Amino acid sequence: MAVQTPDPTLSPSEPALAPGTEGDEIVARTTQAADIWRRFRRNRLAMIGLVILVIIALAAIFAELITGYPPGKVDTNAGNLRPFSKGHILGTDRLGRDLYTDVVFGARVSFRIGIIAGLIAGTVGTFFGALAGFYGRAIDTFVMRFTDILLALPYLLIALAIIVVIGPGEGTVMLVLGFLGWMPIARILRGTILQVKESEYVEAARALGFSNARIIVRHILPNAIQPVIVYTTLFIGSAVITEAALSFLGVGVQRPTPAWGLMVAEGRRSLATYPHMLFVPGTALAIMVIAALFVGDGLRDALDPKLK
Amino acid sequence: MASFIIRRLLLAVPVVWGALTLLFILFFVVPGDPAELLAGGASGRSVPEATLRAVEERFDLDEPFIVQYGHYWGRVLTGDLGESYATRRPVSDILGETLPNSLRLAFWAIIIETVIGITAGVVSAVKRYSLIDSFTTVVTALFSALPVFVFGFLLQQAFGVFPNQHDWPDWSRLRVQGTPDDWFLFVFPTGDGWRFLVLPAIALASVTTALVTRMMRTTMIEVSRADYMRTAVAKGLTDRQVVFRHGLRNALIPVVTLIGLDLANMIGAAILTETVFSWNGMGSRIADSIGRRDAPVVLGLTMVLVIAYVVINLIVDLSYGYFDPRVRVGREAK
Repeated sequence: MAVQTPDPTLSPSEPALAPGTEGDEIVARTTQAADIWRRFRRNRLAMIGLVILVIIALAAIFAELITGYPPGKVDTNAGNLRPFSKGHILGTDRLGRDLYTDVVFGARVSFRIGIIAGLIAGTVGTFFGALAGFYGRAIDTFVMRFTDILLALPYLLIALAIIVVIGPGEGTVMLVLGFLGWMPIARILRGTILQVKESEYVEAARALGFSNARIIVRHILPNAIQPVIVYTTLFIGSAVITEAALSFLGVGVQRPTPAWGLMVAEGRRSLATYPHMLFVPGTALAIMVIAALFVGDGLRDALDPKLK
Repeated sequence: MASFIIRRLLLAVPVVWGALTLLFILFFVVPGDPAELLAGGASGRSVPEATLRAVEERFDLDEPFIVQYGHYWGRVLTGDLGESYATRRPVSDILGETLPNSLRLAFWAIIIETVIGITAGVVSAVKRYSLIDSFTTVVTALFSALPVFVFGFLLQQAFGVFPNQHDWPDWSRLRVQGTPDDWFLFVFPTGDGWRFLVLPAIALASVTTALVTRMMRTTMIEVSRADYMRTAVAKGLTDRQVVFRHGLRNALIPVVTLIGLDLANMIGAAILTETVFSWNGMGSRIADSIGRRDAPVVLGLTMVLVIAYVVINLIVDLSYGYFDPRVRVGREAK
């Protein structure tokens, strides 16, 4: 099921930039990014996926400009309209909410939740990964065993259990997805830091008497963060799917905010009579997920050409 | 091998302990009155004082933390999962009713996944870059991304609603909601029961079948580059012998593992699939109980699924070492 988090082992091979002076570092990194982009661009499916995602993102950003109604606006006089009705290009649902408007605003909700969950997962993962990688020993063992335990649990199920306790809602979903998604990030970062830690410039920084915090933030993280950024981007895609699943089960986003999973659940009731109420948001979700999958695959291949 | 098994078993202990402790903390320690939550008052409904007392008594909520924790483990180990607040039925009863249905659905999904996934993967690899290979690649990409609750409704529309609306013959109509009552030899639905089973099984299998196909194709292509494959061809074996006896056998190892892991991963997908098709299994019961704030049912069933998940992963890991000696050696060398 696509709700699972992406493969956590996907890019630990990338990070080891040749250690050198600070100036060399920057040059090396830009060419590497350019390399990745060049390989990515050659992958046709990945480019198609990227274009679709950009279009959805633009629609989400400029939602007010391209829709004719406020999101989630109920109009009982215009209920159950089929697609291509006057003023409602994709039709309306039982309560007369314009499906086109809600789908566009739903994209915004998906992005918002995905990005914030990604930021949480990225931050928490970076924190624990840096902690484990830099300090090693007991702290490392403790943090890594803890991530093992969390990774060994069925993700959706634990998310459901947590949400039952703290109550459903958009904020809850962001928090739960973020705090259940940081483990692979921590693992990846830990692996990279173990390599970077041994380099001469870290030793030099140590010799200059800098504090651990300063060494981590100024010297280690900038050289180890790239795979974290890539993985976090991929994580956003999977967070969007999980959010939709949770909203579908009724514990995610709540009305009046429109969300695709929620709209699918609502459309379910009139599947036999008005299938478009379910399949309009369902198609939107499917397109976005498939586009994200193409981009993710392309990114993975571009990062590690050997894997092909 | 023995030390490998023992070490894996020992690793599973903290995982189970951690998981159950996490659930305990969630339901009994998290802010908010757990008695009220357990009694069904989370959505702002007020709960009668007497009920609250009864709940506190039942779950020892007036005791100190450590005592509660001890009692919790006592209950878990004796299989006492509490009783539903909505229906007053013991959770173990509900488990007995829903667990077999979940197993049946998972069984058929795994069958579909294995048969279709391996066949499509092998065909795709053998006829690489052919039309059928490109077709398979596109279809698997699609299915691996399509959310179960979108694909499930698509199936319902195409095979349940549409035939009914267009007066198709009776034999072609499938059921989209419900669970068969009678089963032969546990997994075979009797009479008309298969009509209920087909669609949810396909929906549940969809994502994992796509993944198996992809993996089968990749490993088969990898194996075909191996020296022993060239030797087999050079020996003058027929194509069929080369593909099946030398290629498939070696390529199956990682795929078998993936299928085993899918059994565990299906737990998440099953919640959605069972909900979409109103299948009377553990997943849909958890989803329903969440809607009703029936915490004991959620907690009890979740606990069982989490343990099942860990145990299945453990078995898969062990079997991996059994099937592929290289893994065992590699791990022990560490």
